[in-house]
Amino acid sequence: MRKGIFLLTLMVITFSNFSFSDNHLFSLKISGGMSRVYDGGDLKKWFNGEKAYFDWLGKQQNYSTKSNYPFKQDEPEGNFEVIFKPLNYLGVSVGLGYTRRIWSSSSEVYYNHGGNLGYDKIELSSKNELNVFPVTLSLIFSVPYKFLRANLFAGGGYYYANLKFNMESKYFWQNFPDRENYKHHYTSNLTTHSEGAGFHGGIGLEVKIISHLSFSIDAFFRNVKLGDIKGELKWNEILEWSGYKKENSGSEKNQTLWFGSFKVDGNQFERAIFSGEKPSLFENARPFNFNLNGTFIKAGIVLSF
Amino acid sequence: MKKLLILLIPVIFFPFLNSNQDQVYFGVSRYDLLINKNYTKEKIDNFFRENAYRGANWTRVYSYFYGPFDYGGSPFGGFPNTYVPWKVVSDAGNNRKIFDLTQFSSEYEERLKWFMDAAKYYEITVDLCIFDTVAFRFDNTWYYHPFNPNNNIQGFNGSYAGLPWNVDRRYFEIYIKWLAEKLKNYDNLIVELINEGYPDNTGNMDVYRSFLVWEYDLVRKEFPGKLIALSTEAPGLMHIYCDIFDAHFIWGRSALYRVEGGMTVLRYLEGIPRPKILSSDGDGDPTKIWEIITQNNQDEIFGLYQEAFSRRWGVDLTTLDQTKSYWVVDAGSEVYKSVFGVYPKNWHVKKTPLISPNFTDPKYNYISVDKLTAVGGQTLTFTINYKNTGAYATGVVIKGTLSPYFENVKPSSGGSISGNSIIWNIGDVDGGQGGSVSFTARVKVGTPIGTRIQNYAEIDCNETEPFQTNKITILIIF
Repeated sequence: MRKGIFLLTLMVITFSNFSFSDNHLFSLKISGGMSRVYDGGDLKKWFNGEKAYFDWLGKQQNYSTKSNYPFKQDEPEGNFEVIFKPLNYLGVSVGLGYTRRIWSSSSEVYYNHGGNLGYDKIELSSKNELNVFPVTLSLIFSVPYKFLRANLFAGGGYYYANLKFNMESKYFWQNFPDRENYKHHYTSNLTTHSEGAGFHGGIGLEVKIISHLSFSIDAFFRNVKLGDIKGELKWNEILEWSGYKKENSGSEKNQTLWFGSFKVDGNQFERAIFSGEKPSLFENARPFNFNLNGTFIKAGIVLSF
Repeated sequence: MKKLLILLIPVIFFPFLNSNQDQVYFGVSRYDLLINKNYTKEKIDNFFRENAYRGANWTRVYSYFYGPFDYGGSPFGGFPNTYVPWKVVSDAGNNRKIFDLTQFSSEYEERLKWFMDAAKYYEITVDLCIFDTVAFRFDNTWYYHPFNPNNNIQGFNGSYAGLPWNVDRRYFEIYIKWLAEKLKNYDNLIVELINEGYPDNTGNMDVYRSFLVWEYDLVRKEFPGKLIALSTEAPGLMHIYCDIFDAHFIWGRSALYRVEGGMTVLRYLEGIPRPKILSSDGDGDPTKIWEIITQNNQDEIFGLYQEAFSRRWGVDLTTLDQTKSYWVVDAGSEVYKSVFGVYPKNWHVKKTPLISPNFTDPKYNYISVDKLTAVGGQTLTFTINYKNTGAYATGVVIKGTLSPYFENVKPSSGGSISGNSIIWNIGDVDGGQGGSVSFTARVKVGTPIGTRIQNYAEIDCNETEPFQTNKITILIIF
């Protein structure tokens, strides 16, 4: 693939008779690539805090744990822009993008009761999904040279983000006293929305292929902070053991995602949780914030009119 | 003439028993306390202890009674749940039993001895009524009576209505001798020949008197060195045979000023050359004295004590519910102090209960919770059950522990939060009684997954050390 792109570029450079000396007033740009989020702010702290907690818990008497909280930095992102260039070296673009980011995690907690009681187990899993729709406004400063054009971007954007936090806890203890095969299954789904402004800047290179068509490669950095994550929590719970089964479900509106730290036996761990009110257990509890700070490298085509 | 002289000897030479203040008896009596199975050992222990602490040193009980007789709203003796001295040979149905009048119940014997031991421990003298009342022979209780010839394998007819009395007394004698043998080592005993011993209008007074003289002779012989009391209003002439004269139906001060036969009861009693104890049973109306007690009629009660103690007489008032008659005993001690300058010997002497309260049976004393696994933010409901399987307990306090992971704690049943605990002041709990308290608590949002919250309760009372219940564990799974 990379070889193909290289050869195509080489051919264009070698044989192209088109240049950017003729300015086109409007252009449409469709591009896609990989965007990288450096640490996500509280997102990464949350994951690290959870992992640290379960690692610690696994060292306590009778406990053993497994946990996996990967933070995926890179995800694909697409972008569509309308570019207005009144001058050959200066223009503005309005863009609409989309990126979807998924972080999945899991952990298991075992507690050995000893003797005939065996052990009980909690299985936790979560799938957190982030869908972002950036609307950007960029100022473009271009330096054309024959069929090549170097672009500098700078601008701001407004980011609409929908977040889904889907979590599940399965508890099981086969030898629960008086309650054979005791199970407790709990799921929660929090659907939230957040939006906020950011700014970005970057560089790009365009290669004109034919008169109205060029190929672009861009790389830019952006700084976007999102917070005030509010939404509705829906939960379902099934409690079951021999001869008994009870299911409950409900929903709670105006839930906020909070971030803070709690202490256990002198150890401090960071965590995020949903609550309608500020969680009293947490030290320094505050609303959860995350960011999309990072880079976006993309390639695309530009149609000029 | 010789016989009369013998009878007069005790009158002439027997010293007044209560010639010093230590022997002025007073107390309250639940007449079926010994024989009613509903009165557990714990309840009797409490009855003695509470009344002795207030100064009482006396109680009066029946040795037996088996029949449906209403006593303050419940059957006297707890019929049919009654201790009966004679061995039951068979069950005739409808709560009627067939007795062997020559064999005795080991269950009753154990009860009798324990009762006497307990009374002795609390320095209470027991006035034991050997035979039940004459009047009962005429009502429906006779159908169940051990002396009904249909109810004993001997075919013995002990009916007072079936006078003459001199026909056959052998089974009376066997019973008196058996009692004497079992009680010979108790010096805290006074025996009565018969409850309210008068023959009613249907009897032959002369024959009845001869029966009493016979019984008096036998009891004096079988209870050597023991005091003998004859509880009777009539016939007054019987006082010459007794060591203490128990004047019954003295339900208050005004009863002493009733006119009987042209003279007041008080003057009549003053004319009897015997130490006396005034006892009450409502003058034929069992609720009469009880109304005085429950209506807190202090003029009657204080006045009665004043009249009695100033003459060195004793007082014994009946009770249906001892907790409502505590003030009566307290009043007695105060009058006692005003008359003799000191409180009664038992007054405010705190004794360790013979049977302690017991909140340690895990079957009845435990904590439970509606969920054993929980999610942060969920509300849990805890229930603490308690039951006293021992003696009467005072000042019962239940303390529930609170985890630092709990918030929005809401106690029910009057509990109050104090630090990391919830306190319920239950008050007094009688033996066999119990209940439950509860509280709800929300698990704090953010409580770490895998946390095991342990919870338990403590049940305490004035008489025992705190008992810690089972521990329950709530696991936080999310």
